[in-house]
Amino acid sequence: MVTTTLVLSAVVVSVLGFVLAHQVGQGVLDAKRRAALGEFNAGLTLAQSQLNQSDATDQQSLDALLQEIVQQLSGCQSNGFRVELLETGDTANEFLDCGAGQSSVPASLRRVVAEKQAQATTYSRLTQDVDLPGASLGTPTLVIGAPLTSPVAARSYELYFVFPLDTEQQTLSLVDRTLAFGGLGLVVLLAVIAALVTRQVVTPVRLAARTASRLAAGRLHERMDVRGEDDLARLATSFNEMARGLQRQIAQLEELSRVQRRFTADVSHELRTPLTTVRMASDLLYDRRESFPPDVRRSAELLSGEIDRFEALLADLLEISRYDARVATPETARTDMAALVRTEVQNVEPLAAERGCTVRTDGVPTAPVYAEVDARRVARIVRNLLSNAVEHGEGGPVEVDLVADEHAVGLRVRDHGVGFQPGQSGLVFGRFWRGDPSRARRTGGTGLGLAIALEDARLHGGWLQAWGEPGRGAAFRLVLPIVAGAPLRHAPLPLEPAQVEA
Amino acid sequence: MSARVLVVDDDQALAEMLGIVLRASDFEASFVADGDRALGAFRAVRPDVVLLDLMLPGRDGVDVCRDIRAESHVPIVMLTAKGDTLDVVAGLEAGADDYVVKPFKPAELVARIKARLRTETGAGETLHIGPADDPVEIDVAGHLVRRGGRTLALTPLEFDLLVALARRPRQVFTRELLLEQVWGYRHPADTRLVNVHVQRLRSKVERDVEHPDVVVTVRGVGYKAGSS
Repeated sequence: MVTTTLVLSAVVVSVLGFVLAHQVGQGVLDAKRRAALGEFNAGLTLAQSQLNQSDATDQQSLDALLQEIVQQLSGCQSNGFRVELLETGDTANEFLDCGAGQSSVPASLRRVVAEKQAQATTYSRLTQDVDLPGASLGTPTLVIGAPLTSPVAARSYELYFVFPLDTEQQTLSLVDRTLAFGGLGLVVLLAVIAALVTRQVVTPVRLAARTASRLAAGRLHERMDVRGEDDLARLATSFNEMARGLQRQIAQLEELSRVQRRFTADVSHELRTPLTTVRMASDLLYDRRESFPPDVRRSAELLSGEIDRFEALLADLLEISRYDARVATPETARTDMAALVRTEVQNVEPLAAERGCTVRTDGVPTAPVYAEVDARRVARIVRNLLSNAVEHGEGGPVEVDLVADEHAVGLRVRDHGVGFQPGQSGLVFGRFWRGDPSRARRTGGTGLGLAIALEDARLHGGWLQAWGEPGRGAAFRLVLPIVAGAPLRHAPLPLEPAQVEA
Repeated sequence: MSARVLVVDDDQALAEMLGIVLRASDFEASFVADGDRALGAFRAVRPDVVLLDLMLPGRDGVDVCRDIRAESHVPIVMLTAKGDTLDVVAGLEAGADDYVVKPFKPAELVARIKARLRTETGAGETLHIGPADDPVEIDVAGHLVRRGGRTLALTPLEFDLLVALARRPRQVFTRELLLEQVWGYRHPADTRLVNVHVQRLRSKVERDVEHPDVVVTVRGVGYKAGSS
């Protein structure tokens, strides 16, 4: 902003200065030229009339006359210009003011005067030292010349006045210097002004930007200071109105979601007391089922089994509502993941045997694999993945791999069941999601297992991802940081099983 | 003679069902449905164990727990619908020995009650725990604990906890091990039970609770008996 102003003003000032300097120069030179022409014309008239009145017939008297004319015209030094009376086409017969040196008239001018037989003017520079005040070698000059009619036939002369322009040059260089310094000062001043204005405008804008990012970061009470009544104050006012609106909206949404979460928690909680009674009654019946007739016995068994399911569902609902309320905090401790996985595999073995599938743990190292995790929650993730794989594995083997490097530990549970469409890999973590609604549900899964597992993984700052292909089965990969709270950047093992398995 | 259980619960169906289950396990059950009458019922029944619901009309469960504990060392088992809230800690700090989370299985409840009724006995055994110059002396058979000639009033649970530590003075007990030995849990349970009761025990046996020399914390592991 300031730089742009600086560059632009520098350009403008230099163009202006250039034009101004040119104008002043022109003016000064024009004035000088007019004065010089006046002087010259007067001199020319005088010289011509003297020549006309002369009765000199021979060369000698003519030379004397010419010498006299030059003396009259110049008065050497006092007029501030040099007079030269030259014979046309010749450099021998010269009548120079102050008698000094050679002619200072440029040859080009002499040619013009001689050829056109008329008055001519040119600017030149002194090529020699002449005895004039302020004049030295190289001083710019204004030279005016005109032909003289001579009384002696076959001889013609030219009269030249050489005006040194040293005074004008000094004036002009003073003007140039003044303009240059003035321009420079102007540019600096403009830069300072631009900086000041920019600061006045930019500071509130920066403040607005900072307040906006604070709002975005969730600090909804941030507001801008409103000062004065200018545009910036109006900006601040509308900004604050926007912030107030946002805050109100968010508060409303929060209240709504709080009410809903509270309701879920309350419902789950209120269900517990009657469920306890039902549970106890059912257990009592179940314990005595041998003494009942077969259909009553079967009813007692079904009742007991379904209450187990109901209880699991209620527990999962409560867990999910805890996550929704964001009150869950991990209790991390250094845990041997390999041992944890093996324990959970053992626990799922009865269910696997029932399904006729085997759980292969060749990919789980026998040496301890330590990670800082919440053992209870990670065990729940592993349990969910294993029972999910066994349930959907269609009796095929379930492969468990555990790989760790220095940053992360990765667990992959792979089944060879029906799998799912590639686009569904995000959906499987949805609450109560079912890949194929027409398929009968056979086990006591609550439909919340993977959703809770995903929340458990997120709580650790970990990843839980799914891969699936129809007919090739499905794979779930859990990646957790070895050090609690450390960010994850890569996974120690791929999600998708190697193609050769297919 | 069968043990008497006082059930403090306002849910009629649950109370009745609890009665059926308790009687099936040879307990004698009495009932009271609100917090205001709980203490009176306790004085009248003199139960061996109290089952106390935390959510009660009138005085709430935590207050009732404190009332009962103020005049008796009777084992108190809380019934709670909230497994992980501050209520559990509040109840334990008010003096409850153990708790079960609804919905519980009858067998689980009975196991908890039996664990609380079973207490340490040892024929003529006397144990010492703490620094040699000022040890805590435990008369296991007589259920008496003394330090510096003063008799300390411990609840049966606190007594069991102290005896467990004193019996093996060189062993470091993890919280899980104490849960198994003192509370009778066979599965992982809430380690806050141990923390709260160790604090309660310390407030009774230690000279300076801030610098315990009887029940010593082993950082990151658990507790052990103070060196004697």
